[in-house]
Amino acid sequence: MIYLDNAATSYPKPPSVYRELVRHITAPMGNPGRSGHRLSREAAGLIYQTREVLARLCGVKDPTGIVLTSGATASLNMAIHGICRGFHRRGILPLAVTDVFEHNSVLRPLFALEREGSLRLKILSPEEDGNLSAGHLLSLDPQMVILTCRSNVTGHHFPLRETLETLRRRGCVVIADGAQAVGSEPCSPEAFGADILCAPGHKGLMGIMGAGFLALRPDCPFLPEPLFSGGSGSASFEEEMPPFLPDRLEAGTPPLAAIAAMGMGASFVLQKGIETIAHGEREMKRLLAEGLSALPQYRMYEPEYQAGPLLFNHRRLTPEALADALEKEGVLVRAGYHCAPLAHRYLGTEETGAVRLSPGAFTTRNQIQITLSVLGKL
Amino acid sequence: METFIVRCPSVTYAQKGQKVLEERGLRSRLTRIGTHGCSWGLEISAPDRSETLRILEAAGVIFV
Repeated sequence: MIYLDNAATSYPKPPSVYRELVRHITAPMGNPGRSGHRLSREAAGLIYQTREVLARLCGVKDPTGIVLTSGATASLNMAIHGICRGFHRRGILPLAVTDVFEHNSVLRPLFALEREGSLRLKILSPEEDGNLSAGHLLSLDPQMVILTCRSNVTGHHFPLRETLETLRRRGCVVIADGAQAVGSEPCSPEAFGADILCAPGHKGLMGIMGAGFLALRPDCPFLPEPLFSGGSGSASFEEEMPPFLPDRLEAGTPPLAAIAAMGMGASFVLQKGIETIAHGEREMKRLLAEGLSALPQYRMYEPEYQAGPLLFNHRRLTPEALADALEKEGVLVRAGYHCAPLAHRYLGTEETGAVRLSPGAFTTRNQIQITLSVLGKL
Repeated sequence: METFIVRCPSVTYAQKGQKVLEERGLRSRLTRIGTHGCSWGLEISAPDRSETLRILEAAGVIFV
């Protein structure tokens, strides 16, 4: 099998991740942060270690700025709804700005908040150079900006750090969707110009589904209001969630096995080297794009973005037919809209969708060559 | 040598306190980490209570 759907979830995982998962299934585990006995303390220690490794990976100095969630969608909802509510508490109806390359995990929460009148929404398209207009963004003077670090469709991204920092100084809260970038390229809230970076554990970090996190910069103007309330193992007599991180945003028992797997995967990424992984993935994409450009039956979309997935279509076959044909030859890819409808509208693939090839940290040159050979025969 | 309990609002800060002591080569001062009523705590045995508290506070460990 050749797996080229790493943008959906990474496969395979490092052996250390599998070993950690087996340990969690077979060994006794306590509930972290609740009881004071050995098993509970050990579980809490493991969670703290995961916060540490994620903080190191994301350039966040204090591990308490890492809030563990059930995935990137949960992180983004917590950030978007939580910051929106924070503005309401300050008597402000926020203007939120985003772009057409966002995933539905950003767009749908924003649409829902706009529908209920909780925010005003502006969706920007790229300029000719592929970037958003910094001048336009500044002139809008938004209270919230939500941008992807890297599109899950083509790898499209917006280098706007200086502009975002200017907006932050005006009190705007910037949220970065790192679903496709964290673990695959150097990524931190500070480098992006964001207050909050959201990410899953099962993609670039090579954990399993069920865990993710948000990383908060210490100078974020205010903390997101909690989306969930419940037990935190702390400040039990308070009616509200505790005022401090990470407890404020972590209600309920955490998914320990998924968190441990995420931590082990993140350690693997740090050991292997994020630059090494980034270089390898870019090289695989380059080989794919180079090979496809020699096959006239295909059309690529935005192959100039060096990192991230490669989007393309067969001039005659539908995306689904092409994906099925590839699967018959053992190559797994994703056809369709990739939960990014506005990106497909922008790219002109709204009618049909397209096929996405997404190499990962373990993709080999040989696998790329076989894939290109199969594509050449279709 | 003085033995005292540093109460933290949650296990995360107790863990952080433990880590801070480890990083400064003071792990031997920590005699127990666990629940203390409605909070978490570090039981510490140290020659100078105020010095230990200063170290923890400077590293961002929250007390209650």
